[in-house]
Amino acid sequence: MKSYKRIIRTYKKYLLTCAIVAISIGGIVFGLVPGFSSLLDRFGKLQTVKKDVYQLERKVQFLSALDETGLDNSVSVLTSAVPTDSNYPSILMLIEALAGQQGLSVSGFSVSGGSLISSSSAKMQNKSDQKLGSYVVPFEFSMKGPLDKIRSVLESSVTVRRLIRFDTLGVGLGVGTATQSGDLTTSITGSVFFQPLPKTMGAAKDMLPEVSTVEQETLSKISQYPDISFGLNGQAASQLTPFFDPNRSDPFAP
Amino acid sequence: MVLDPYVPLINVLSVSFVVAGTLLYVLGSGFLALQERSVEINRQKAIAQLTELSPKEMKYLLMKQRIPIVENILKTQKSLAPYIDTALAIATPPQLQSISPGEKQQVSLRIILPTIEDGIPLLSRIIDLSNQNTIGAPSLANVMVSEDGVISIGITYTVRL
Repeated sequence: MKSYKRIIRTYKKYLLTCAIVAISIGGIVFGLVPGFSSLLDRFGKLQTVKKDVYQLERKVQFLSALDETGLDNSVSVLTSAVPTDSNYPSILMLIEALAGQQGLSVSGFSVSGGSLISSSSAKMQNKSDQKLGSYVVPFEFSMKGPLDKIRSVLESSVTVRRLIRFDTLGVGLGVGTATQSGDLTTSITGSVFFQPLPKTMGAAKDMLPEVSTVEQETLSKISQYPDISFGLNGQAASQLTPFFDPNRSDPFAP
Repeated sequence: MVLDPYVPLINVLSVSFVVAGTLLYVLGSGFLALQERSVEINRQKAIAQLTELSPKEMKYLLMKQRIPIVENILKTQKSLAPYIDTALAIATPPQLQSISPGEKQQVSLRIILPTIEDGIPLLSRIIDLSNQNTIGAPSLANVMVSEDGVISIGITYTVRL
């Protein structure tokens, strides 16, 4: 006890200093260090949020600068080229329109269910179709008429909307199929395409990729194709009327 | 003791360090709070603007999604008209009985010949087209003679598009 008192007496003037230093060290270790650590965290998070806000503002600027009328027009062109659903009636209307432009008639039309290339049902599609990334609706039909007009139909098929692709062509020119007037029966298989609307828009801060020059050229190219897709805006019936022969009593007669 | 002259200095430095640190923390914290508030206001504003612009964004995304698809389809599209052109350059109806385009621009023709001599000008035309590089790899796939003497020949070639 005596030695304890002696030690206290000897170092009395240092006790206050020791206490101050100890409290300071305690304050630094338990107060300032965690405090500054949390400040650093907050600062880091703030920088991330600032970056996000900058991206959001850039996106807002980008979207605000887009011409809405032009955008509407582009979307309209693209959805008429590749509709958002299979729209089976429009396939027949499209083929009727293509044939009707040359005064030909279509018969024996059949269409298969649309399949996505990545699905197992689409495994029988050829390799080039597997890269399309859209739904493919195969169809088959017969067309009757002079060969030069059939040729014109085939030629115009690659420059119309909705996009259509004729895959195979069987032309019956034999004695049994060719009529005296030179009309021929042609069997054609082909495909049309559709792609549903995107279901998600991505994160709000994700920047939108700009349309490249090549994409603009593609858009410009297909916007020049005549739109004979019908079925998207309800104009089909009125526009198709000229292609049907009003004097024909049975419209389904070959 | 040696430390004696430094005791007040140690005291002052210790207290000063803690006070300065605390002040710095309070100031930093306040500054960060202000910044956070300002950034949050900007963020909310930008999100509100984006919500307003979301129909436009959807249209833009729709456009961006469809263009590559359209490009891919355009690449696979081909006019079958050249198949008919080359077929008609070889034979015309009623001799030309059928045209069957296959993959890789291959075409198969079925042609009916009344006599075998009629095949000579036909083969000559095929050779000419091949020399002009309009068709490639022509080959006589088969020859059939029916009971009534009608000769049917099958020819395959590739069309140079």
